[in-house]
Amino acid sequence: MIRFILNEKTIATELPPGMVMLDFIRYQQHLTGTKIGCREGDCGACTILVGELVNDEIHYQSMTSCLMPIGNAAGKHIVSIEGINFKDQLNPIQQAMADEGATQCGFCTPGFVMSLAGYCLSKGEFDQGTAIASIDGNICRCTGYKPIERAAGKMATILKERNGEDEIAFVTRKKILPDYFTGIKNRLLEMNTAARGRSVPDPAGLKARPHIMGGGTDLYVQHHETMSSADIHFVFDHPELNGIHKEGNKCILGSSVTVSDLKRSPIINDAFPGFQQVAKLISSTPIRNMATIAGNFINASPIGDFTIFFLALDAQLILTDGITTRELPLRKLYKGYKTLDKRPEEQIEKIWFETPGKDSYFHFEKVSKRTHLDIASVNTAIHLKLNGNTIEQASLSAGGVGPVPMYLQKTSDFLKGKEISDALIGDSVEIMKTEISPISDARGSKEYKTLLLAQLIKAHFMERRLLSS
Amino acid sequence: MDKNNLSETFFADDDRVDGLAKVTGKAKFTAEFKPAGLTHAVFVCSTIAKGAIKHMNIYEAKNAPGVIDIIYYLNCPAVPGYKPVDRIANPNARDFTGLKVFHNNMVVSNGQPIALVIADTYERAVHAASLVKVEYIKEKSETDFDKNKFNDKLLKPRPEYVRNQKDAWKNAEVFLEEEYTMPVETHNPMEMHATIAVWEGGKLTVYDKSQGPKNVQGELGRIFAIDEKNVQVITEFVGGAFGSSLRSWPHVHAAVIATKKLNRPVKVTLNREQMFTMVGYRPQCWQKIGIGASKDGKLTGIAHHAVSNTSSYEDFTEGISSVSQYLYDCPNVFTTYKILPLDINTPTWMRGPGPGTGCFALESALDELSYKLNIDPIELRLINNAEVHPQSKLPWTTKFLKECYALGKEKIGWHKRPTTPGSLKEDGMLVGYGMAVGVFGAGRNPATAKGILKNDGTLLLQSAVSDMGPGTSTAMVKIGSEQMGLEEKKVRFELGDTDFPTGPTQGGSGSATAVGSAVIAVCDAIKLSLKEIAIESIAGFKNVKPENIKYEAGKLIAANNVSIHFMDLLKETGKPEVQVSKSSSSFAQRDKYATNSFSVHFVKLHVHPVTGVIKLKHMVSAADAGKIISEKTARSQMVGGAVGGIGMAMTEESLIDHRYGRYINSNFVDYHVPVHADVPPMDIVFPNQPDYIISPTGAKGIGEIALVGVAPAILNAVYNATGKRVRDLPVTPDKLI
Ligand SMILES: Cc1cc2nc3c(=O)[nH]c(=O)nc-3n(C[C@H](O)[C@H](O)[C@H](O)COP(=O)(O)OP(=O)(O)OC[C@H]3O[C@@H](n4cnc5c(N)ncnc54)[C@H](O)[C@@H]3O)c2cc1C
Ligand code: FES
Ligand code: FES
Repeated sequence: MIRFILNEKTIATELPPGMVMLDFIRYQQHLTGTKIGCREGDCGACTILVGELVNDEIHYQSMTSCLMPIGNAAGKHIVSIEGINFKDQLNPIQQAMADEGATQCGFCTPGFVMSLAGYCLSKGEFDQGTAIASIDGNICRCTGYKPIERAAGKMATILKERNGEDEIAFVTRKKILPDYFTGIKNRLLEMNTAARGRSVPDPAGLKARPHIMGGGTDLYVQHHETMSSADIHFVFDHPELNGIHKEGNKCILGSSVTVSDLKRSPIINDAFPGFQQVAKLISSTPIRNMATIAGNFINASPIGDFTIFFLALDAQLILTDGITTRELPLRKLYKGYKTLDKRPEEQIEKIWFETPGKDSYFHFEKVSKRTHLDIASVNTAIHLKLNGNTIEQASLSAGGVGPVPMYLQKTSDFLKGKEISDALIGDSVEIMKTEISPISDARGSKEYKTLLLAQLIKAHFMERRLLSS
Repeated sequence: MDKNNLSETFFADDDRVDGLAKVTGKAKFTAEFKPAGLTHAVFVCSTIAKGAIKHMNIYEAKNAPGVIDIIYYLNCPAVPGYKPVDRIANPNARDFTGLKVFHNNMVVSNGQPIALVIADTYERAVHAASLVKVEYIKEKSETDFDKNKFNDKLLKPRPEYVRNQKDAWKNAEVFLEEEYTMPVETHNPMEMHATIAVWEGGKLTVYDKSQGPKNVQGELGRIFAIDEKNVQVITEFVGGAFGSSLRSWPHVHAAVIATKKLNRPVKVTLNREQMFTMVGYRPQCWQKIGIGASKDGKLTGIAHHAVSNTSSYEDFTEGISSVSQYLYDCPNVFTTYKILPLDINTPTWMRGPGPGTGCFALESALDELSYKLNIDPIELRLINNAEVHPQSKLPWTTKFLKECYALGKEKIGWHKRPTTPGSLKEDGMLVGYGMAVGVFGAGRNPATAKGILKNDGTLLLQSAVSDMGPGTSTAMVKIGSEQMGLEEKKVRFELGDTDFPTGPTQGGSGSATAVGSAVIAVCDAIKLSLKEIAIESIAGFKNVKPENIKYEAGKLIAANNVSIHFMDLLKETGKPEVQVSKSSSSFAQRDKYATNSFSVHFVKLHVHPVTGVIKLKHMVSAADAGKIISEKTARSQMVGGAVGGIGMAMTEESLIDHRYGRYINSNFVDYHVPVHADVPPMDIVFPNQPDYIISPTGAKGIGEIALVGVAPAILNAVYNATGKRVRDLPVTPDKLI
C-alpha cells in the first residue's frame, strides 16, 4: 500500500509501485492537465510538484512525472496543475502567462506553469536569472520562449517581496497557490508517523528484489515496459542513503543524494567554487531533483557527468549486499561496456572523496551538441595538486571517448612532477590519444571527439591560467 | 461540445482568447476526449525498410489481457477509396497515393504501421503490441540521400526554368559556385498525434489533431465512401503542428478502419518515435548555387539546382530553387529541381516549406558573394532589389523589404559588424554579425464564416478552421470587434468543428487573411441586415437608403442624425439575433500583381575559439507582413519562427542508420529542438503597412517568413565571427574546430 496526497486528496493505492506518476495521474485519476510530450524526461510537459518533509519542514521540488515511480511518492504531497487552480480566478503565474502571450498552442503550458509554481515554493534568491533557470527543463516548440521569460520575470518580481516569510504562508497569502497548501504539512506528518517503520526498505530484502530504484531517470528511459510491473527496491528516500557531510578532509555522500542536493550543499559549494556552473550544464531542474549520484555511477554511461567528475576526485564507493560491506574505488568499478565490478544484489550505500585543498585545482568541462539540456559529446575533469607551477599530482578523466567513463591513467602519470607549459599540454594531448578509443555516433565522429578532448584539455589549463592571473 | 467554461472576461484586450483554458490545463487536446466505451490502440511497426511480411504471429498478443482485436493485412476490411479509381466514369478522380494502411504485406519504410492492436487500456495495448512477432522477406533498401543524390536512375526531374542564359554567372566579373546541404528536419510539435474515431449509426465522428478539419472530413468521406454530411471532424485544440497535420496520415485511416470493424470508439495515439516515421518531415536537400555579379555588385546570373528526397510511393515536391527566380532582380536565371525517391515515409510541408530550404542556399551564397565583392551584404541586396517581380514584371501588391533592412540594421547595431571575418573579440569570444532575407507567398484562400449578433450585445463567429497555435481565434475576435464596434470580450470565435461553415486548412500563413476576410464579409452583411431592419421598422429610418446609414460603435445613424443602437433595434423589433453566413473568395488579381511577404533576420553571436560552441547574443527580425492584426500574437509568431530557425541552423537533424533504414535519434534526447537557454534576446520590428489589395484584413501572413531566412542569417554570422563557411546544416560545434 502506497500512501500520499495528490492535490487535496489522500491516496492509498495497491497499484504496482513501479507505475509512473504520470500514468497514475492521467489514467487512474483522470486528471489530464499533466501532458505527455516524450515520456523520457526531456520535454517537461508532465512536470508536477513533489513536496516532502525534511526535518519536519515541507520542501517542494519540480519533477517529471513520466519518470517518477509512485513508489517514490510515499508520504509526500504530489501536485498536478489541477491542484494549483483556483475556482474562479487565475493565479498570478497563470495570469502572467496569459498576459504575456506565453501560450500559443498551449500544450507545453501546464508544464511551464508547474515549473514556475515550484519556483514560487523554492528557497533560493529571486531574480530574472533564477526565474528562467527554473524553466530549463521545459520545451516549447511554438513561442520561442521570450514571452514565457517575461512571465517568469514577473513572478520573480512578486517573489522578491517574500523577505524571509515562510514559503507556504507567502504563496497562499498572495493567492499564488490555494489555501489547502497550509494544511499539507500536518497531514503529511500524520501520514508519516502512521507509516514509520514500514516504509523504510529492509536492506536484507535486497536479494529478493533485484531492481534497485534511485530517482528512476535512467531506469524508466531504458526499461519503461518492464519497470512498471517489476519487483523494485526503492532507495531514493532511504534516510541512511541521504545526506552530505564532512569528516576532516573527507566528504561523505549518501548514495541517493541528488544533483540538486549537491547544488544546495554548502560543503560542495565550498569545495568546488565553480559548482553552480557545472550543475547548470547537467540535465534540467526537474531531472536534477530526481537524479541520484549512485544512479549516475551504476548506469555506467560512458558520458555520465558525475561519474567523470568523481573519477578525477578518486571517489570511493561503499557497497553492501545487506550482509557484507566493501569499499571500491570508483575507478575500479568499470570493467567493460556496461559491465561492473558489482554483484546485482550489491547497492551503493555511500560515496566518499577528499575535497580539493588550497593547493589543488579542480575543473570540469562538457561540450554537447546542444549546449543546454543535452548529454555530453565529450566531458572531462581534472584534479591537480600544485606546488607553484609544478604539478605534484594529477588526475584526468574523460567521457565519450571509450566504452566506459575513463580515468586517463597514462596522461595523469605523465603530468605528475612536471612544470605547466604549452609544450607540456601539447605532449599530454599526444599521450591522451594513445589511451582513448572513441567511436563515431550521433554525438560526433571519433576524429571530432579526439580533437574535442584535446581542446578541452587545453581549456582546463586555460581556465587554470585565468585563475592564477 | 465541452467548452471548458471559457470566460473571456479575465483577459485584457490583446490577450489570447483561449489563454484561460490553456494556462489552467483545461484545454482539451484530441487524446483527452473520452466517448463512452473508448478503446485504445497502438501500432506495431515494421523494423525493415523494404520487403514484405512473410508471416505475422499475433497469437500471443491476441490472447494477452485486455486485447480486443488486432488488425493487419490478413483481416483488414477493404477500404473503398484505396481501389484505383474508374477514370472513365470519373475523369477528374485521382488514385489515393498515400500509404494504404494494412492493405497488403509490402513494407515500404522502416516504422511503417503494419498492425493495430486494440485493447481496453493504453498500457495493455502497448504490452500486447510488443508480443506480435513478424517475419520478413527483406529486400535491399535505399535510404542514403548523399549516396544517391546524383543517381540519374533514381532521380525524377521536374521542369527546368530558364530566364535568358543558363550559365551567365560563369562569365561574371565576380562569381562563385558552392553546394549546400540540409538534413531531414522533423516537425515534432509538443503534442503527439492522436485520432479518436467513433462509428455509430452510419455516422462517423472523428476527433483529430488537424490543421484542416474540413480537409479531413472530405478525405475520410471519399476514402471510406461515406456521405460528407455524415462525417464530423472535431479539432478543439491543436498542440502545435507546423505542417505535420496538413493531411490525414495512416493513423487517421487506421482509427476509422478499426471503429468501423469493431463498432466501438477507437483512439490511436502515436509515440515520439512514431512522430518521425508517420506524419512527415522536411525532406533532406542538396543545393548548388552558381552566382555572378559585376564588380559594382549588380547580379548577372544565378543558377540554382536542388535535389530533395521523397518516398518510393509518393512524389513530394516544394518550391526550393524557385526562390532564385524572384527574390532578386537578375537578368539570367536557371533553376532545376529533382526529387529522389528513397525507402522512407513521405515528407510533407514544414514551416516555411520551399523557401525555407531555398533561402538557406541563396542567402548563404549572396553573403559569400558580398565578401568577394567587398560590398556590405545589405548594400548588395539593395543594389539588386526587385522593384517588380523579375519574371512576370508585375508589381507587388505591397513590398516593404527596404524598410525591413533599415529597421533591423538599426536595432542590431550593424555598424559594429567587422568587415574582416574573425577580427572582433569580446570577453575572449569571437564575435560575428549576419543577416539574411526570408520570403513566402501571400494570398487569400476562400473561406466561409457564420456570425450571430445577439440582442444582448454579443457576437458569435464560427468557422470550421483549427488553430495550431498562431492565435486565429484571437485575431478573428479582434477583427470582429473592430468591425462591429464591440468590446473584444463581447466577441467570441468558435472553430474546430466541421459542422461550422467551411474554413480553409491552416497552413502557408493564410488563415488570418482567409478567415478574416470572411469575418469582415459577415460583419458587413450583419450591418446591412441591421440597416434593413431599421428601414423597415424604425420611424426615423423610413425611406432612407442603406448606404446613407452609418454604423458606428454599435449604432446605426441616419443622415438626419436619428440613431439607434443595434441592441435596442433588435429588442424593439422583437428579434433575438441576426444570423448570417458569408464567404470570401480567393485572391483574384493574380494576373495583375505579385504577392509575397518578406522578412529580414539579423544575428549577433559569439563563438568559443577553442571549443567552437556558439552562443547567440542578439537576434532581430523585421517582417513585412502587411497589417499587424494582433501585436502580441504576431510577435509571438515571429519569435517562435525565429527559434524554429535556430533549430534548423544549429541543432535539428534526423539521422538514419542506412543499414536498417531506421532513424537513430527519434526522441527528444537526441533530436535537439532549441531549449530556452539557446535563445538570445530578440527584437521584432514591423513596418506594419496594410496590404488591402490582397484582402480587406490588410494582413499578408507571418507564420512562414518568421522562419525563412533565419538559418542563413546565423550561418552568415558564424562566418563573420570565425572565417569558417559552414554549408552543411546544422552548424554543430564539431564543424567549427
Ligand atoms: C532528461 C534527462 C537528462 C539527463 N541529463 C544528464 C546529464 O546531463 N548528465 C548525466 O550524467 N546524466 C544525465 N541523465 C541521466 C540520469 O539522469 C543520470 O544518470 C542520473 O544520475 C541517474 O540517477 P537515478 O537516480 O535517476 O537513476 P535510476 O534510474 O534510479 O537508476 C540508474 C541505475 O542505477 C542503479 N542504482 C540506483 N541507485 C543505486 C544504488 N544506491 N546502488 C546500486 N545501484 C543503484 C539502478 O538500479 C539503475 O541500474 C539525464 C537523464 C534524463 C532523463
Ligand atoms: S513527458 Fe516529456 S518530460 Fe515527461
Ligand atoms: S505553446 Fe506550443 S509548445 Fe509551447
